[in-house]
Amino acid sequence: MSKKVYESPTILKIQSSMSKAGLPSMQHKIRDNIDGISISELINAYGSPLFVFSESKMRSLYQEAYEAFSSRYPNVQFGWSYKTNYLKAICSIFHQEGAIAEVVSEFEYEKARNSGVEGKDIIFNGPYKPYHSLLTAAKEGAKIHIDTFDEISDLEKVSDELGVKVPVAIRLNMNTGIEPQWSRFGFNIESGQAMDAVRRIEAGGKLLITGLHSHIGTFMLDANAYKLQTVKMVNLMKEIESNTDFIIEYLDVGGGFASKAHLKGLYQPPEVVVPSIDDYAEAITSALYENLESGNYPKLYLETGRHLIDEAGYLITSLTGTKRLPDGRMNYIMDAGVNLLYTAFWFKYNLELAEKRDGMMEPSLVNGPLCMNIDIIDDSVMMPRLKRGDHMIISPVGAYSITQWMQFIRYRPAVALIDTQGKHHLIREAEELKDIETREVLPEYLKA
Amino acid sequence: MKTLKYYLNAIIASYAEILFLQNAKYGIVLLLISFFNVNVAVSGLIAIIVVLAFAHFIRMEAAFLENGFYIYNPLLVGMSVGYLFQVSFVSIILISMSSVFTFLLTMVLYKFLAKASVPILSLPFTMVSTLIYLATLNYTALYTQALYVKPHLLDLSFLPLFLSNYFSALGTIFFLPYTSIGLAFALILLSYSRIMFLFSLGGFYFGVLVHSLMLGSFTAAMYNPYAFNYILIAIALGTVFLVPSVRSIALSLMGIAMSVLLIDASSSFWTIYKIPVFTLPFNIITISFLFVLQVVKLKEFAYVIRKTPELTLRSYILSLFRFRADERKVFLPFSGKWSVYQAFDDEWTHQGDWKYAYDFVIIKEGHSFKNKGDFLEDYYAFKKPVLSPAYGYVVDLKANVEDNLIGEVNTIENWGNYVVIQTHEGHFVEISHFAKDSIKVKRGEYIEPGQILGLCGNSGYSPLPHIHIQVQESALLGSKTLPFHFVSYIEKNHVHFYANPLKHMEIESYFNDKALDKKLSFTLDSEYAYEVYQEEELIDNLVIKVKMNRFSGKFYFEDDDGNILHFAKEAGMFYFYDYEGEDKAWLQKFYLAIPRLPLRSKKNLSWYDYLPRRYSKKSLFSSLTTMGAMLVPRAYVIKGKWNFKDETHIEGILLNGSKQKLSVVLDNTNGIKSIKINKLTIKMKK
Repeated sequence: MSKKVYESPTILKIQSSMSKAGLPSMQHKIRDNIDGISISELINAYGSPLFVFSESKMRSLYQEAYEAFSSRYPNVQFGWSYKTNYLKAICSIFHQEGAIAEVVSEFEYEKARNSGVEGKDIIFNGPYKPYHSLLTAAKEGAKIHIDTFDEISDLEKVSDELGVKVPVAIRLNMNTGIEPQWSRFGFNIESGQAMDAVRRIEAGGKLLITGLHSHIGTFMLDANAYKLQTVKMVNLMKEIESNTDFIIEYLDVGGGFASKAHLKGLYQPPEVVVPSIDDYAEAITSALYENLESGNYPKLYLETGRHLIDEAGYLITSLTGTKRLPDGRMNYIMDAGVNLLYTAFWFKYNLELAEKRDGMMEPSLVNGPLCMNIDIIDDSVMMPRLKRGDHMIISPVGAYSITQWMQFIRYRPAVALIDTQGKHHLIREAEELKDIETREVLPEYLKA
Repeated sequence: MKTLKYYLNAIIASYAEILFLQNAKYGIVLLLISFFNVNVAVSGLIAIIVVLAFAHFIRMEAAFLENGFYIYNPLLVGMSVGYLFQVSFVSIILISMSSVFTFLLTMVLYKFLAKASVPILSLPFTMVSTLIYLATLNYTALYTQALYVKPHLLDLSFLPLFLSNYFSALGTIFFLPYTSIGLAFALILLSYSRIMFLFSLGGFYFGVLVHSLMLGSFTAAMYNPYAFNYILIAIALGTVFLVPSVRSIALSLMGIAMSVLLIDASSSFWTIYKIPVFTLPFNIITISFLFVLQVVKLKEFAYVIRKTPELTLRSYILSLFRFRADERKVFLPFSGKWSVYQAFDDEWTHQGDWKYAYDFVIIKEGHSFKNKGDFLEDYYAFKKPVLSPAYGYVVDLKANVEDNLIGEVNTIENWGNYVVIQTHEGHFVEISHFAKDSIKVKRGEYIEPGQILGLCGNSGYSPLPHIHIQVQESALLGSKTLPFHFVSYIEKNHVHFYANPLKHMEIESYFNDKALDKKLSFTLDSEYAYEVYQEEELIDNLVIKVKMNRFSGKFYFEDDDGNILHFAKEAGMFYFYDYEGEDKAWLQKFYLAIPRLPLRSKKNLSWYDYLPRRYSKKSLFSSLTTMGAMLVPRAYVIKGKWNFKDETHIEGILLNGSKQKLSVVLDNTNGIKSIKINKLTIKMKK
């Protein structure tokens, strides 16, 4: 038996085994495996920290969302939002499920093409699309969503250059009772700007409007906002179809459906406040049925990203050091922090331990490894006493973490995927020095 | 000028119409032949001209008369007067009076009989001629002439009796009871339609046979002056108003047998007053048969009469295989993928009078529910939209029955919350078990397929949330159900048209894809220019115009040579039908390459369709095949399978011995960009 390390005394509020309401007091959560593979096996195979994605969770989230819409309105097409997570393996899974690609830059466009997605199966969004990328997209038949009047001019040049009429959609913004209103994207409906854009395009005679797009926000907790959005889009579609020769083939209502992540500042747990995918589907499809003429049903595009992947992603971290803070909290330093979890600023994650630990629950500060004061994963979480080398699993981290992570101070770690058969695969290797230095150029005069 | 053209067409068409022919050339030939008895011909012409003048005087629309349908009765009356009396001032007055009266009677009878979808045939002629013959018994200013006419004709006296009598019977139809003229008519029939010719022959001898059994003398039966009635019945009932088929043969033979009685009865009675029987037996028999057959909605009733019986047969067989035109059909009442829980004649409730019904639920991984399925909300089907299955009106509904708890059923209000729809076709469709207070339509509201009716629930005799749909006899709740099928559904990436899914099958509905719809939107008067290549070599040019039939409002493509290809876009598909024109025309290749496609483009989505066996007027073989098709319709069509390679590219293969490959590319914005059949390619010009 090893000798216990000395620790200076602190005063902690006693947690009895029963809470005031007579319920058993809080226990820390244990996750010793992901989809049947033990945490230690994963760490042994790929090192720590490690992002792990569950393919079966992704597929079931996709299928559930698709069913929720298609069982209400059959003309549905999902577009996988590349910015949410554009690892090849991840995109391939969604493409296999039937989603097309939704990209917001020429980089993402190229990535989608490189993954074998055909131009016609790409939705090209975003406030800035360089001319050459518009040219490529138009040539390859992508669905280009116009954001500004300048882009209309650019696309007319593209039309001249290619000698064809280019089918396009316009992006819209509107008041759906949601704050902040995302009025910086696309053309505003209420001010008449959207109709101005339509007339501008009609007058140019070089583009064909085939779709309408809008995206009202992110992590939307009010399904009814989508109803308002859909109604406004349908009304605009009717106005366009009755006043011009354009036929609106599709309505893209964007994404922004919330996942079961815990937004900071919300008192209730996500299970209570986050609408189900059926709620979103009901809001959107009922607005379609109530406002469209039967038989004139445009295709419905959805670009939901977060909802389809957030809960399928985990980050396994290891405890590298512990200390007692002057305010009495325990401080744990993990090997992953905000460098990998940019979204930590908004979300309170679910922190789980790979093994059960005995001892009293005490308030703890969980930090990342950066030499930065703001590198906080959770500033107040109840944890039993942890030991160096313990593994903590952070979730849900499937959305945006892989695309927003930083190569700041540390290398970015490996990413693994657990397939539906319960086998694990490496889908992105851990970085090493040459990955980072390969683009660097050292001028001759600075050498040695 | 245009009016005059309509009138000329009308005159020519009315001659052809007497023999049920729809062809101007034959009309002219018949008009000329009628001049073998100048008196008859002139009287007939006077009758039509007077009627047309009258129609013009009362400002009747000239185009309305163009097909000759309303004026061949006055023509017959004119001829019958001419047959009896020398053309003179008095006879012209008689002709004028009687022809206009016949015309009036035609319109009156038409208004009554058209409601029952029954033709007037030559009934007005029979009635008016009888009146004239009765009236003229008192007139002395008219000179009889028929008996003295002996036109100089071919001597065919060497022909055996049974042939010459058939010919003269044919001639009698035009008041020219001469063997040689009958021979000419027989040749006209033969060249117009082999089916008509065969029926006229068979009908004549069958009638004579029956008559001779009664009379005891074959020769007497043969010489009966009214034997032409057999021919008319055989042609009208057997080939024109019914689709030529085993049933039409049997029915026309029955009609002919009965007409023997009528002929003898009426001739005994009529001759007292010296009135010829004319076509009375033919009219009474044919109209009675058609009236009843229409009431029972006989499948072989020719709802659309084509130019020839061959064409009627061809389009009947194709519509039978391609559109199952004879049966009731509804659209799927839901969106997305649902599974058949109970089909027709199924084990639980779909039995007896209520056996023609479908129940649908949503099944995922073998279950219709998530969690333990203890609550309504666990069921995938619960509160999913229920969509209108037809065009029609809501005639009845109930909306406030409580949803049952799982496992319980409401045995008092069996049907729960329901909607009954009377469709355009006159069927009644009932949908049951809506969720309480979810019905979004009102009684009397006009609804279209795909419109939301309400949400799926668990009210009534329903142990778990599901959609129940049936077609029934009346608007009355619980009335007897009738068989039906679904217009289209997708099962395992294959579109089934007009079919019935089996139990446990998972099927998917679809809405028209607007992008594809737009590609296949052909606006009136637009033109599409094509180049025709044979093995890469440019051999011809083709321009297709989009036109509309001014009577039916139906759209078609027409090329420069006047060939016509009809198309339609409805019921979730675009399709070609009814090609009229030269067999070799390029236009027909479009039909042969892509007879139809679902308005839902999805990679590898496949479907079947049927093409006619190639039909050429000239060859004896093909006319034999067509006649064979009367007996074995399946032998007349070729099945093919088509599928989407991608959103604009379709490939097909004929599933007969030829295994011919077909390929079609749609334009990205509008039109058919190219078709390829073997080494022939037709490409849209840039």
